[in-house]
Amino acid sequence: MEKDLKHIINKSTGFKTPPSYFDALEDHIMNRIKLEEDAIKKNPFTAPDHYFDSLEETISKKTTQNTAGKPKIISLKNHNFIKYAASIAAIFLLVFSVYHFQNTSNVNNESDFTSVTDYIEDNVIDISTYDLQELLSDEFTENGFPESDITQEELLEYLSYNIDETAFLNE
Amino acid sequence: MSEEKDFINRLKSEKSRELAFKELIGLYKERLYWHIRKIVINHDDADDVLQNTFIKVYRNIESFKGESKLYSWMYRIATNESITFINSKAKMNAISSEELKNKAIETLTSDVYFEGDEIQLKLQRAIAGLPQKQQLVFNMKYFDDITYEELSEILDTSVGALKSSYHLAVKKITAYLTHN
Repeated sequence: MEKDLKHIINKSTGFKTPPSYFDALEDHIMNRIKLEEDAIKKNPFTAPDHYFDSLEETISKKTTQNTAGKPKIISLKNHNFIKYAASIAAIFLLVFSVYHFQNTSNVNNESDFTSVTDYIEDNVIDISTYDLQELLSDEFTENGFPESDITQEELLEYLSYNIDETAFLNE
Repeated sequence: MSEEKDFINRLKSEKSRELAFKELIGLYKERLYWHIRKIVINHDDADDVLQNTFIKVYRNIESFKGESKLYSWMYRIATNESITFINSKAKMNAISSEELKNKAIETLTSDVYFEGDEIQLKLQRAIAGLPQKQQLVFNMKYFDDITYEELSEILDTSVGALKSSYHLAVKKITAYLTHN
């Protein structure tokens, strides 16, 4: 089968390359590799000029030579301030608890319904029955009586069941 | 074999890598170029893929364990790079890889780096009509005379399956050239 094909066509593809393409290929590929490797390895950050020249001295000044200004380390064991702090915290806790308990009790007492109504009647509502009547009549004359769907029969039936006729006649 | 081992050691050693790698390019550049060119068709694309292949070989030589021949390993990288190149180029042009290859073949008539006649152009069209694996087997066996054992290492396929692929490919191509 392969022999038949070879009779039809030789083993050439017909492809060719630019002149001298292979001659410089090694250098070309090696240069590309170097460029890519350098690009990967290159550090994009820079430091100020002569930064590293005086670095030891700068650090040294801030550490060994500056012992006079060394911050004090205070031991917790040698001082009584924990006792003071604990006492103050306990006092605050006690005051807060007592205050909170009293407030809660007041709310319970004040919620008594009788006390509330007495208070309103005695102190808040200072309107006489006459004033109230005037207020209502003004409301009705301004807006008229509210319209209703109640029929005359329904009204008579309601009155016959709910009105004490004797009392009504006495009035 | 020990020569190849020594060569691989030179490639792995940082001291001798650069010189050894230059030697490696010199040894395989033409064979790999023609292998790639038959897959991607166009010279500029083949040049790109060849360079990428060698760069990949350079970066991965440390992990090469010598389980296969260096030559087979490099062919495998070149094959994968070529297929990846075709697939991504086809994706960029929103067409299938088969369509891309057919287009590339149709431009061969005006390609300055193609000096084939009508029958060679027909052969390229016939190859493009084969399934991808058969294309690879046909190109490597028919044009490059690679043995089935080496093909088996490169394509990770049994010798029996490769023989069957090649036989089928030759049959289809002969039929295409006879009838067209």
